[in-house]
Amino acid sequence: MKIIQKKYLIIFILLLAIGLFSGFSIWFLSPQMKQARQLKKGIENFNQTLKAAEKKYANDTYGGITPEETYQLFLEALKKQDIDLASKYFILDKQEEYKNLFTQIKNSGQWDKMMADLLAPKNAKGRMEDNGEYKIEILTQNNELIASIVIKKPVLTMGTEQREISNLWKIIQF
Amino acid sequence: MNKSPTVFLLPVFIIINIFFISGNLLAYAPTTTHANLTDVAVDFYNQNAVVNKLSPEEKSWVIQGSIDEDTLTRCLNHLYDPIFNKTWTFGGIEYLYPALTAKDWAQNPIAQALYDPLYTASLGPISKSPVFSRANFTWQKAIYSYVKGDKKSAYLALGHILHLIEDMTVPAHTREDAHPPIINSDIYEDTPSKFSFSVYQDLLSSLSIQKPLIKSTLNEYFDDTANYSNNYFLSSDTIPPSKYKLPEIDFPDVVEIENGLIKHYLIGHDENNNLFHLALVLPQIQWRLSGPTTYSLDDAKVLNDYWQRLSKKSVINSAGVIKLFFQEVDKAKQNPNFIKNNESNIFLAAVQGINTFINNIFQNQADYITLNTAEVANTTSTINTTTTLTVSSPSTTKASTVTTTTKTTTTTIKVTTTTTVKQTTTTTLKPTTATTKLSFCSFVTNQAPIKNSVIINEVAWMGTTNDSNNEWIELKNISNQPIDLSNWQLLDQGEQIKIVFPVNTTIGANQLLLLERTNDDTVPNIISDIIYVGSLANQNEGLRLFNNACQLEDEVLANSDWPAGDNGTKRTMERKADLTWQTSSVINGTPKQENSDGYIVTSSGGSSSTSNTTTTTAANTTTTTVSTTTTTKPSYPKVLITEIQVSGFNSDQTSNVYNEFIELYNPNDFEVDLTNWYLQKKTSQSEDFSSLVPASLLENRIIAPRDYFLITHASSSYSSITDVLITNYTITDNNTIILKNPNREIVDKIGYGEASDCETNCVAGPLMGQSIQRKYEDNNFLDTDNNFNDFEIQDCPSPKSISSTVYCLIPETTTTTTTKPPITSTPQIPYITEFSWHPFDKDASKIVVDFRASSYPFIPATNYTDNVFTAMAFFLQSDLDDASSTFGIPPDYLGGQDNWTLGSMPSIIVSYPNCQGYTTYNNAIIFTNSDFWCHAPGGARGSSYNWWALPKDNHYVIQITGNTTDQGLHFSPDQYLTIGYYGYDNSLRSYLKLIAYDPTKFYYDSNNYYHEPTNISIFNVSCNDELCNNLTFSWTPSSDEDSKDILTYDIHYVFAEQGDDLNNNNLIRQTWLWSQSQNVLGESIFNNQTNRFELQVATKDLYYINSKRLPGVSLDVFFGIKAVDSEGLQSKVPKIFYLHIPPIIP
Repeated sequence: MKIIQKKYLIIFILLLAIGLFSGFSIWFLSPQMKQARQLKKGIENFNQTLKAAEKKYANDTYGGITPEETYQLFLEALKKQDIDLASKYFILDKQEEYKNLFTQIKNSGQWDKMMADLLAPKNAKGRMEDNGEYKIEILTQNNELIASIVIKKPVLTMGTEQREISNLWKIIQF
Repeated sequence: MNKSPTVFLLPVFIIINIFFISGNLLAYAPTTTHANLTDVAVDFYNQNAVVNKLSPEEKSWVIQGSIDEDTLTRCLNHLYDPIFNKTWTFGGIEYLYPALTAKDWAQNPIAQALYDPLYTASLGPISKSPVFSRANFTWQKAIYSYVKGDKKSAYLALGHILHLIEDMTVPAHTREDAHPPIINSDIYEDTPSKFSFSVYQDLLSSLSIQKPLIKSTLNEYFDDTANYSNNYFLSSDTIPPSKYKLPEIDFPDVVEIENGLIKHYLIGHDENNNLFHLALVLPQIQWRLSGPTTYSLDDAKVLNDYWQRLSKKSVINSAGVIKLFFQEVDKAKQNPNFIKNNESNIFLAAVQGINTFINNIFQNQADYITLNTAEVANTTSTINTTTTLTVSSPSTTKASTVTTTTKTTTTTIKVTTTTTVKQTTTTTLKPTTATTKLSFCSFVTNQAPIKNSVIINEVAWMGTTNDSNNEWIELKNISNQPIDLSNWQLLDQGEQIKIVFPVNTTIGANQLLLLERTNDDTVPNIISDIIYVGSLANQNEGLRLFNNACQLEDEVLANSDWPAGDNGTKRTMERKADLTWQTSSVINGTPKQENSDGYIVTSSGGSSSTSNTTTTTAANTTTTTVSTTTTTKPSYPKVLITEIQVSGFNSDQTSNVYNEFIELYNPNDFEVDLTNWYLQKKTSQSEDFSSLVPASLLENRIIAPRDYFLITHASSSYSSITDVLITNYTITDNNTIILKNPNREIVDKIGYGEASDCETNCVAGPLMGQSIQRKYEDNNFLDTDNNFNDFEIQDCPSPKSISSTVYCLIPETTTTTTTKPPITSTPQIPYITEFSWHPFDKDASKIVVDFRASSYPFIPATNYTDNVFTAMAFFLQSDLDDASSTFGIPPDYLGGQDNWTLGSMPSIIVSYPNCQGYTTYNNAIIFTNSDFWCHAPGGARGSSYNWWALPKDNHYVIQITGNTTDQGLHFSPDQYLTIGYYGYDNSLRSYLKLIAYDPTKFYYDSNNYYHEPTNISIFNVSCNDELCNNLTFSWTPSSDEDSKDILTYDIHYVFAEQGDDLNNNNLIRQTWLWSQSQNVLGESIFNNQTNRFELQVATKDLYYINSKRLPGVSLDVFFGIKAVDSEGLQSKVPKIFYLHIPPIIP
């Protein structure tokens, strides 16, 4: 009797285990859980990307602690025709683009004209906008807007949270 | 055993909570902008609501919900591109971040529920319905909560939905923005966060005479809102050229002067055709001349114009969503099983499913319809990817059927707003053995159509006058009893349109069914029966209607053209009573109405440029020639193509590829009216014909009996005797040319050289200066329908004559003895037709490479390479180099896997617009073979030539910005380029492998630069009437030494200033700056009688003139004109004309 009971018990436990395992497998392999795992993986990937970008900005040393300072550093680099250095004052993913622009300007023999406009007294001062940008408008001799330099601090905004990822101001537009 | 996902899901969510390191995903600021917009939306709704107004507390819940939607990584799902039905691309690596579109996210309870780690850990959704998840704030949850009596949860969820709708009014959310969201946020969404609340109060006041937008489903609100911001606005990263055709640019460069400051703007229009500032332009002037035109949204006028429009849209649509919410709640309350169904989980549903299956085992097979498991799992989130239909009008959904996989999926497709639908997705885990799969019929079939019940009655394959994408299809039941369309299918030839009619769709006897593409706005003011996705091509297309047994009920095919309909006037293709086709007499057709009596077909063709011809005679002849009982079409006589010149020489013996003409001949004894006749051409590599001489140029033109009709290019030596001048089209080697009559019948065809399409056999291709002449025998032109037999090569062209009556010089082909090759060298590798490099202009302000190709893509695939990416690399060498040194030219591979470049090899560096939206500087040009591959990320692929900026005439003028030898841009005549061609390696992916090397020495020639067009000698502007409502401009043609240039004309105007001599039309204003004056837009035509170009413009279309024309105020305006050539060079001095414009009479 005991042996029979034991046998039934074992069978019952086995069936239970199989049932639980099957149920768990169905759940784990279900499209919804697959989606959950993809979601999780996607969030990880995205967060890693942001972390990497944040790290780059944290390690970036080119720029000033005020927008005016960044702009002055930028102008000094341009005066020396140091395009590499000047491009480093831009935000990271635009550095190559503006490096090429300045190279083009230099190669076309227009560098002096650009500097004349950039250094003109009427173009010396910028202004702080309500949205946290510092903007300098560059006008030609004819008062025609030829460049709109926007300088901003790298800030990560997520929902109601805002966090600076660097205290250096960078140029985002020229 | 696999690790429980709970083990790693929980920590992940905790980590996310701690670090908050998801960037600002381009949303309005939640606690300010979203909160305020939601506040205004609720107030606006309350102002217009009679019942179900929200109390202040309820409003605060909605506002809180709209703020909370931006928490955690929910914002990953806040984008929706309605054009491509996509969400983020994350710079091309979107597969790493499986986000949903905002539209799907709003209605996917399971996806949202899974954001709750406790729900996931508790074996949800097997053990728990998603309604119990704390992260579920979907539309369905909102309705369920309200019906359950939990108003707070309902309004919180509604707030989440409104947040998403508000996000659809941010263009960066609806236009694919490629850059990651760190710092580089879109300026527009940042700006409103700084507005004071008074701005929002003003917003509410401005809507006092408006009403909430009324739509039937939440999807429609998403589509309406997203399409609005996508179609009329720009985002920072999708300034043209981009893959988006919209917004339309009304004025590419308008100058505005404010307080002495001159700014340039890009101008577009909104849905009411009001112009507004689309972007600030940082113009290519002075030291910016060598760089690309830069646009910016960071301008007060631009941002204000955007806000004024988008904010209103946000509020009006959000208020409509609130109204819809209460309607859906009312419907849900009628369903006694609503709550139970929503609270059911997969396990319970499975049990019910088994029961129902057993009970319904002999159910009609047609009731069991399911998608495959993968599709079903994604049904609620990716309806569009299956390209099945979305029914706009709600159809009956049986709640009791939700337990079977088949029925649930159909209801999922049909009605996305009822929670019963979403619950059904849980049953899709059921084994599909219990159901029968619906398989699509195949478009390819040999069946003859039955045509006795439901037919295709009208097709707007051309779209509407509002938008050429606004296609629609109308079916008609021509039997005398209702027809059940359950599981009938309507497919197009490419099977991108795959409409499966839902179960219980019926069409009454003699009734019409309207199917609209994309949304219910395609045909305004008429509710669609069915909405579908997919487009109809204008040529080589077809539609087939199959019943539920895949029997072909009806069809209509376009071989190559559709049998009726007109693209130019947007007259639809209508079915006649005898089941043949006619063009509708009504522009935009007769949707959901009986078809018209028909209109005579205009010959704008399927793919030609728009024709503006509307022959008045057609209206008169319609009633006599178009019979409802016969199919007789008018017949047209024979007209022959008798001579063609493809290219020739200038008087100075330089080559001129535009020295071309086509000669027609009327062999009849009566004159032939060429109205609605047209010519088309096809290249040897193309399958489709394109416009060559549109019908508009042949309107009212007559060929006398047994006489010629000459069509020449503007640069032809024979343009002085031409009957029609063409400027925008050209013929090249190996073309096929066809002449069509108003019945769209090919009357004559000629293929020459390596053409792919000829009359029986092709005639040989002519050399430069030669023509192909139809043989003349026995007083007649030979016409055996065999080009090879009928034509011969003629050394001297003889337009309007059988043989040449003038001496023509045939240059000798002598080998040059000079050390330098001709200016424009002919490449040995025929991928391109010619190549040169030289200064851009006399001042050498730029150095360029100049080459032409016959078509695009021009670098082919080979046995070992694909042409998905190809490249041209330019090797710089010199005759002074050590002959033994080849610098490793050409290398087998272009750079490496991630950088397709020659590196430091001696080469030139060129610049061109790339797929990331800015400029590539490289010693090779990377090309893609389709727009699909033209997208970010950066690196090799993103540096491809911007698909949307490719030159339409395949003539490339690309700036050289440097070289790798540090010599700047100072090149010498001993320096030359050779070219290497590369293709995408089949076996070594992401590498570009050498496929051809052209050793031709293309020498630098500093004397070969582009010339300006000549100044225009005569220019006249006149008012067409006393009130000067219309202006006519006329001018003599300019010319250009660069024989290949096609000239266009640029007319500007400025207002006279005090002190101007109004009598002096030679005024050269010291302050006249071309860039500061406004320009006139329009298509000019050449008047052969006066030998002048003419342009007619409505005065009201001249932006600034119209705005200054106040009653009683006259205007003194100076108009100036310059010619502009293909390289953008202009006549040096504008020709001026002064015009006094009288005032408007009040």
